[in-house]
Amino acid sequence: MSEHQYTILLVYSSSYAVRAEKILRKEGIDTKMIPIPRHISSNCGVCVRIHTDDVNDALEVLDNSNLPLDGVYNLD
Amino acid sequence: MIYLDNAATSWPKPPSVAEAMTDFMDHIGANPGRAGHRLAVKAGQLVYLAREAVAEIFHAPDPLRIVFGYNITESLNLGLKGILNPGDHVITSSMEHNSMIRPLRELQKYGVELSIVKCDVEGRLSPSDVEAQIRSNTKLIAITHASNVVGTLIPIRDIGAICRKHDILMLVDTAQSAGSYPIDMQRDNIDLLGFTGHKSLCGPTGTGGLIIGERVDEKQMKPLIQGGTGSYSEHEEQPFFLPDAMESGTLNGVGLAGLIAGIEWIQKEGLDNIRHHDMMLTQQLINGLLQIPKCIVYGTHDARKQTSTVSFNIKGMASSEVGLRLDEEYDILCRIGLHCAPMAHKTIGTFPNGTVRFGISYFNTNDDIKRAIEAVAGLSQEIT
Ligand SMILES: Cc1ncc(COP(=O)(O)O)c(C=O)c1O
Repeated sequence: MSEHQYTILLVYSSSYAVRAEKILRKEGIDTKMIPIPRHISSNCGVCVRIHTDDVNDALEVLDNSNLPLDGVYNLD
Repeated sequence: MIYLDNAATSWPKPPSVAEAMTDFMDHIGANPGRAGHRLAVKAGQLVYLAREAVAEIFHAPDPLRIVFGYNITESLNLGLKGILNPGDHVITSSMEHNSMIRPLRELQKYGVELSIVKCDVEGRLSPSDVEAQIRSNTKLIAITHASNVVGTLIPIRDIGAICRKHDILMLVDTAQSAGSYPIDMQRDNIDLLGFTGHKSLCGPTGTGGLIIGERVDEKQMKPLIQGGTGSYSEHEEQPFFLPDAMESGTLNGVGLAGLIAGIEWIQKEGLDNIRHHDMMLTQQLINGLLQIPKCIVYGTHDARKQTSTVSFNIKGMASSEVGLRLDEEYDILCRIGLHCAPMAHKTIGTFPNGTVRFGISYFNTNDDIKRAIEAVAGLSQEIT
């Protein structure tokens, strides 16, 4: 998989996005907060973008931290 | 000028507070938690940092269980009106500020039962008197941590233990203690903690909040207001999770930037050092005022049992005259009257005339206190 493939993690709110970023970065996972792509949700908030290669690690780390996710989407 | 009105609002603030606020206005400025551009993200990160700073200083269970608001008045309203329903019973004390007693009186009109436990003339509250008021429908004990009139500390940890024994909740008003006296939500058994940013937390006005402990089921709690949260925008219903369930509308980003700086300053100076400093000056003030023949000093006369707030009167001179003359002739700023706490003044026997109140902060010095005592002595000599 190319490192330019991205996956979007949808969380409840921007506060949860900041928390998710903190948790993931502590584990060395590269993240960026971006506006939620309109085709995924009409929510006006932000989501966390990660490299698709990191998805399994990220989901495990977030699950261990009890951070609830609203959805996981691969960007083409 | 000697500023001794810190129990109302602390001043001066550490210089880093205004610097942080200017930095926010100049370099961040955007709406926290709404748009996704880089400044909005930065603003959102700053709000999260504010949650972490508040969580740390109170040892809160989770930064996301902090609902920010305008001040503690709003937060106490949220805690009381969010938790209590008609038919519920609530217990409070006779030393409360109007920000506690007025919403409770309002709730009483809608069928909430209220018991007010009387404190003694020094403002002390006995936990067993509180326990004696518990009924089968008691849901909440809502209480101040320290009196804003005489500074007397209330044994919240013991009262919190009673709450846990009887499976009820405790809401604490920390307006007078937060930032100058150690508070630990877990150790002190606090379920709902209201705080205000502009007093000893050294932040600006317009900051405050309610911390919702883990014994509280937020799904059973009613928000004060509903509105935009930047989350779940496609839904017309309020989100169910904290803090968004209770926290609507654009937050005070610039204020929270200042509050972070205030709390960081407290952590750097050390809460123990601040408390030690305040106790020394408070005892110096009490001892000095007690030496003045016409001066009546209220409260415990023991700095270890109170915050750095001292109330007194000069026999034969109205508190309003004392306040005005301290300002105009001695350059000393303080607060007189009932201090938004008529019931507390009834408890200590100073209703309706009130008292003169000196509120000391970490920025006051021995010399400030010495000059304040001399000023009161000077005024009292005029009474024959
Ligand atoms: C004990 C107490 N509770 C509540 C308040 C209200 O604080 P605020 O005006 O920040 O809401 C104050 C301060 O005035 C206070 O001293």
